[in-house]
Amino acid sequence: MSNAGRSANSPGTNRSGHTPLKRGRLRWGEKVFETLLMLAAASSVLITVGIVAVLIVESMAFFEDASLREFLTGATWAPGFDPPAFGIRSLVSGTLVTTTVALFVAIPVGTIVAVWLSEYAKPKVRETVKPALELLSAIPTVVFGYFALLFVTPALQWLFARFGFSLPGFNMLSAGLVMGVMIVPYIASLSEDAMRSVPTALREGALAMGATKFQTAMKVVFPAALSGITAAYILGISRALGETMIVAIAAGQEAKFTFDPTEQAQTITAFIVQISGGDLPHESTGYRSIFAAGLTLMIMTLAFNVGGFLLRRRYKETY
Amino acid sequence: MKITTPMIDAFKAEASGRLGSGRVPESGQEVSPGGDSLKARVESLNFFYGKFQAIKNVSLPIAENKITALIGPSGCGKSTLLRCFNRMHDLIPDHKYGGRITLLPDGDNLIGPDVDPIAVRMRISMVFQKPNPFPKSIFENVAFGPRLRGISRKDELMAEVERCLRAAAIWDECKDRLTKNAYNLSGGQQQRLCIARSLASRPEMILFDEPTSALDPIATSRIEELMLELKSSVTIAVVTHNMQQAARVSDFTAFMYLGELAEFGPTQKIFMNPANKLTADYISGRFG
Amino acid sequence: MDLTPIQKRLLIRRKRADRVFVVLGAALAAFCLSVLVIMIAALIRDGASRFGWSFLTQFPSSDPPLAGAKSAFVGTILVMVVTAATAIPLGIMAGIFLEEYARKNWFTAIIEINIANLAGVPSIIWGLMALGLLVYHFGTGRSILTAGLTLGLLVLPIVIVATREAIRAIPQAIREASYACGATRLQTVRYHIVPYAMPGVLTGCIIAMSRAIGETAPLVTIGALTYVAYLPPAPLTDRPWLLGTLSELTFSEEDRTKPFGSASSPIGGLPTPAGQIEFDVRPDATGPSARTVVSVAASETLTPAALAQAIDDVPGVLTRFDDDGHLRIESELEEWFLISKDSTGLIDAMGMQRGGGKHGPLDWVTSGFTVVPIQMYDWVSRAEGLGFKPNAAAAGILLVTMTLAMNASAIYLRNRLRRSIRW
Repeated sequence: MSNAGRSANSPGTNRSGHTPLKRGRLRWGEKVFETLLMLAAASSVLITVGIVAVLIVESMAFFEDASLREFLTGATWAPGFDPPAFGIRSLVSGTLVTTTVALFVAIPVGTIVAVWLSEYAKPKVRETVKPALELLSAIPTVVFGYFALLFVTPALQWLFARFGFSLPGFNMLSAGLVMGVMIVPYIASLSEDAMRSVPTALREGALAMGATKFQTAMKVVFPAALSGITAAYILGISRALGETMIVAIAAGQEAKFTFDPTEQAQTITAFIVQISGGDLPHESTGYRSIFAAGLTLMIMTLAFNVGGFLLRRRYKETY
Repeated sequence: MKITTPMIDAFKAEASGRLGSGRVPESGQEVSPGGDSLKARVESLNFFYGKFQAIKNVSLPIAENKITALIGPSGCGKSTLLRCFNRMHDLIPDHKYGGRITLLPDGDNLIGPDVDPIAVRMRISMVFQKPNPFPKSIFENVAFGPRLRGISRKDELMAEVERCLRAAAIWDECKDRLTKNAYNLSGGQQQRLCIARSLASRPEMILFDEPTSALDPIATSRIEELMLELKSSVTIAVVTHNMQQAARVSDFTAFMYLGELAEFGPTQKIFMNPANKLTADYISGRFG
Repeated sequence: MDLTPIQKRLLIRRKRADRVFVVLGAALAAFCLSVLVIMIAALIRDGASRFGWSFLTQFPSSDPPLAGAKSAFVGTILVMVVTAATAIPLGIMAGIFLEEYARKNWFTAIIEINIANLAGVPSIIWGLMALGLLVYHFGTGRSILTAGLTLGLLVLPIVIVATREAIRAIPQAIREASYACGATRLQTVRYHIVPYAMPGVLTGCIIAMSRAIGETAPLVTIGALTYVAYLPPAPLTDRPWLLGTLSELTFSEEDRTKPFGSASSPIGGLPTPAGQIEFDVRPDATGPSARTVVSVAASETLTPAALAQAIDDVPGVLTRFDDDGHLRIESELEEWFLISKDSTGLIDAMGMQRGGGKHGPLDWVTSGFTVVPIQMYDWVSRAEGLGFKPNAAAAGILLVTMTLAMNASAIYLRNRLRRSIRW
């Protein structure tokens, strides 16, 4: 800062010995800084535009060579074939099956853990368990993939063998189960937050009538927090749809149209990883198919998000 | 009893009659009949929060080196009026000023659009209801103002800090812990620190917004003593809920009601012999 | 007041539901946490044999006991530097804008919706965007710069949210005090808002970084390589010699089998240092490398045919015989150069351009790279039967250690925060 009396705050003095009140300099520094900050914030819009633009432009280039009809209705996905087959159904089925298996684990487990944390667990317990669960979600997904392929699959294979069944080395079941466990912290944490923000008065009303904690939790707290809990579920679904490494490692790299989780399959995300790590030249249709696949994934995610938003609005309780 | 506009006009006429036609000033300063020179004049002030009009056509004088108290029930607009003086409303998006607040002797309109709020705040300071020192050291709290004005040399800053802390009657308690965090002080001490901070820019006027409502009686009386000491060098306007405080401390009192100025006059007159029944009711505690 | 037998039975049943639920909830939580423990234990069990100082100081190799994570580890750190440089300033500035400057209008509403949106984009989509926009459109290549930018934008919402929360915690009274002292908005932000928000912002940044460390999908998508046996060029180290564009390499039939020269018989009288000749194939002298093509030890000789065969594996490079029977080495993409790290004699023999000099301070930014999660992914896919399981597990140990360390420090910081400024 400059010496006394000469800073931007006090431009000299006037006849009464005080600083004049009329606006002196316009303080360019302030305006420049504010613009810089605004650009930083606005960059988020540019990023979204960039994502949408890339997906759409490249997909359009893709659909110049491949037929949209085949894309949507064809059952074979084989970009390496001659001629290549681009039916997205098998990738979509792979994505949906792994997601469903994951949610079969994540939603019940996550919800029960959330209710337990919010309604039953002592504060000390909650304060240890909640961060520990968050630690679980902080583990990189490659590690989960390793675990799925090299621990869960052999374990499941041993289990299946006990009953006379076999399980292939790559299968959607292991990947889905591990993915489910990975998503539990998201669902549990958000649901618990939603339930904790339900006012105690509502609980007390139910308890005063002689309800047990369980009844209060199920019939009062859970419905009241439904909006937040739905948001948690939607987040879990999005997470599962977009998950890449676990499925790429453990579910396989063969696109197959099947709803049997014990089979190998390829998800949209695993496909993208496979192609971009490979040898196909940049301008080829096979390469561009990853953008079309990515666009499909975005649309699916968006559909769930919007659906979730509408659902939340229906269930939003005001208290 | 409902205040009607004709009543207010009558009161205002009486008040301005007592104030407006004073003796011809010698040095070009405005004077009131009591011989007090004026520091500021509020002229037909209006203020809007969005669509809501919080101040309705208020005019009153602020005497120099005197304490003017603003009293009235909750929501009457006294804090709003106070905050017009140092343009604190500029921080809220949806605000609108109307009328003038003329600062003397230069004659600038404090709420004029061509006037820089930063410059206004350099000359008119504020002490808030809940003590709000910065979570920094005592030294840094007081030095903030001088630093903004460009003073950066250690010895100059130290001199300023000492001057302000002495003027706020807190130097002895602080001199050995200037580098300690201000949050370690008690509530009363923190408020005196805030007063010291407000003195750092050598203001012409200090606005006190219910300065003692969060403090205990002993701290309160210390603050009141301080205000009486300070008035010889600065003009003071204080908003208070506590009528005894207003009676103890102020020279002039303005009673506000629902955004309008119900009565204004020397404190003695307002409390002993209010001209307006509403004032009398408020003072005797019948409402508010 | 006594209950009827029916009421008593119902009460017992309802209370039992309560107790069952407590047990169930606790058991499921314990199950999830035990998965965490088992995962880490599995990594340690499988990787402890490989993990160690040699693991961190060796490059990847086709021989599992020799394959290490040196390039991956260094690559992770360098990518994190660029990520932090992208996300932290941008995120803090955006957060300050949204909390201190923005007025409530449609423009700010759009920005806020956007940020919430971006937080939910799957990480592979970020990879696709980076691929199309950065790698190809802006031409930043498959480099540390691209990786850092991508991950930086990916974790940007985390930094923004953390900044906003930290700023929101500052009471309005402090701002009023600052303005009442005559500060401008910029001065208030600089002397009060930013310092008081810093601990919370820092915690958020650490969490963002720990998230970025583990992100694999976007980096694989932009084409980060899985076999990188070199480190990005450190500033002030020697630049390699540029041998020229591959398209210029044509060899007739008799030249094909004539050795260029070997480490022990230098060409043109110039000795080759270090006893090795290593060739890289790259877009240019400082650009990302596709692969170390061949490394000639002291006892080997190198012929164009052998070189061509080794180069053939490199994506984007073709070797073929043209109509005259000449061996041609070509690239169908942009110009690719064959680069030797040491042999000046070779340059004379092949009659091509030079390079040399020292690397600049930022050359590493445009270099090719790999990161620990990708290295782990590569090894996991080669785990069964190829013996890379211990390596994968060791990489996992490294990764988990880095992630948990950052998370732990963030948690620690957060707890220290709660004890410092109490508003």
